[in-house]
Amino acid sequence: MSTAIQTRDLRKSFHTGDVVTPVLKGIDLDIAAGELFFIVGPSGCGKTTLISVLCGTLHADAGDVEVLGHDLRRLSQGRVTQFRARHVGFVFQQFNLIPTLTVVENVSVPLRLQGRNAREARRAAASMLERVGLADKIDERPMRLSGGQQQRVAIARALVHQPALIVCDEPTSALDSQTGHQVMELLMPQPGDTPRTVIVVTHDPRIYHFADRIAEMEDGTVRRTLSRSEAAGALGSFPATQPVMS
Amino acid sequence: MLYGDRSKYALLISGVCFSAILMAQGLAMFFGILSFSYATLDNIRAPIWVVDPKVEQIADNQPLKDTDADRVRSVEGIAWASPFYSGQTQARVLGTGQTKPITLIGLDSATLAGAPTRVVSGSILDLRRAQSVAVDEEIAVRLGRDREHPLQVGDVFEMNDRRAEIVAIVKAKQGQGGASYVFTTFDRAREYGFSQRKMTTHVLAAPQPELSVEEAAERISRETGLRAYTEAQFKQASSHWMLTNTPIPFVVGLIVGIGFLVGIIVAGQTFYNFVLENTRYLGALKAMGASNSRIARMTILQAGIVGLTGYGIGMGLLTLFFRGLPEGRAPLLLQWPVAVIVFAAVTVIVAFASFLGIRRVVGIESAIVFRS
Repeated sequence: MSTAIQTRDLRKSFHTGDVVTPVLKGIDLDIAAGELFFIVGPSGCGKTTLISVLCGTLHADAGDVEVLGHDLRRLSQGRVTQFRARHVGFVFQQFNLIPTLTVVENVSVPLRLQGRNAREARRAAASMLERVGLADKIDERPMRLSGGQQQRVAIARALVHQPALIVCDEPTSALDSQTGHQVMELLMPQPGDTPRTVIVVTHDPRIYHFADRIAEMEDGTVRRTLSRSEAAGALGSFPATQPVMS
Repeated sequence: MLYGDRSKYALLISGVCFSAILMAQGLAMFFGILSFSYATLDNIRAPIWVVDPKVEQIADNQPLKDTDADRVRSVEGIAWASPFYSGQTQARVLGTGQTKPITLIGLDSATLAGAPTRVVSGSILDLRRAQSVAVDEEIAVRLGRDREHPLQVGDVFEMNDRRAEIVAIVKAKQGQGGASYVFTTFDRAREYGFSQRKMTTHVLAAPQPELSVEEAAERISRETGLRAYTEAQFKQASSHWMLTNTPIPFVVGLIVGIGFLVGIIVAGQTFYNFVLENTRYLGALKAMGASNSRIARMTILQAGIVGLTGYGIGMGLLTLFFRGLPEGRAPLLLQWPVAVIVFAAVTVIVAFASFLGIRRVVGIESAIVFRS
């Protein structure tokens, strides 16, 4: 399997006045193409900063970060924006569906950002909504849907432009167990899908078994990376199970 | 995004609309008052107006010598010149005692040069009959207020204790202070007007076909020592006098300024709040690959549509309102410069609102979407 994401000695600090807070303290990571990769760890350990750097919404201070063959540290801001529009799908914890747009318009957004015309984008969006079981909701406003339905819309939006990388931030934390499982199943590649790498930041141990590998972060570093089978055995020692929430 | 937020969309359009109405109304009033200042020039059409050198505007009546009309007539290239009287007096209706101030116009008895052309009833040529006058529609209504109907042709009223019989009713623009017009001959105006030694206030003149109006006016000024204005020059001088000697520009400027401020504040603040409330969603758009310039274009487009809609509704409502007003009575003139100036002001308002929004949008970090 080829490597989708590779980081070496990745560092990122935040500055508040004269105070410098190092958040990522030298991350080395290799994520294979097509892998379902989980990042877990207590709040404040740097998970969110790490995925922000990996998808190009934050710029790393030092180290190397290569994503889908693009060296993000050397790309201009405009190129990084183009890279995200083309290659990255997002699933946010709070869905971030635009409340003034209909469901189908929300799902069309990534396609419209790629320059597809409105009719074509709507057709593709409607097809994706059908796949996530929301064909009858396309003209609803997101606020009229349940939390699970909203997250399915968000997943449809993340998948509609067939990105090679999907970044999910706590995709199931606001959902019940059953809905959480349904959401994760939607993220799994279906036969005929374009191969995609999925990175999931989560606190939710109920979905660990979906992961190919799990990286546990602590204080700005990756403490250890476990395969699914290793993670199953080590779950007891995972902060997430007892409990992961901090 | 903005269209989906109906309340903000409506508030923005209302703000721009209200602002456009305030500004357009102020400017229309300004142009209306300016046009009132030279109403006499619109009612009495003459190519050249000759006045005392000290006269700065049409309502300034400095008497000329009775021989000045002859002096003007003797200037080479002048086709005709006739004495003209304009002054204020009171009209009183017999029976009801209704009294109104009027602007009395005395036209050359022989030629009736400058007589109004828009006759509603009667005949202007009947001014040659004894004790005859022509009145504008407005004064016919005002003087007839205590009667069953407005004054008509054949009705009689008094000026300066002299009998005046209406032989024609004409359309005329209202003058300064809303004064209406009574037209008679120059000789008869001596009787109806307040008595003074020299009655000629202006000399009306026209050049021969081979001479331009401007050249003729210049020649009259040079050869007679009087001041000769073309109609356009006299209008301009009267407007200029109004601008520099009355508080009208200040008052109108205040109205227009308030309208502009209302637009800036309402549109700017609403638009900024809209961006502020949608920071998370705009951040999500940026994370998904929307560039700053794309979001800026979206913002400008939405602000532009709001501006155009508000402007269109505002100007449309004002036009309808003005159409409902009686012609020539209110000092309101909705001309194309008003539309252009208000459009420019709305453009500035929209640009300012967009600038506030864009400034905020550019500052949004796309990584904000990962913060709960």
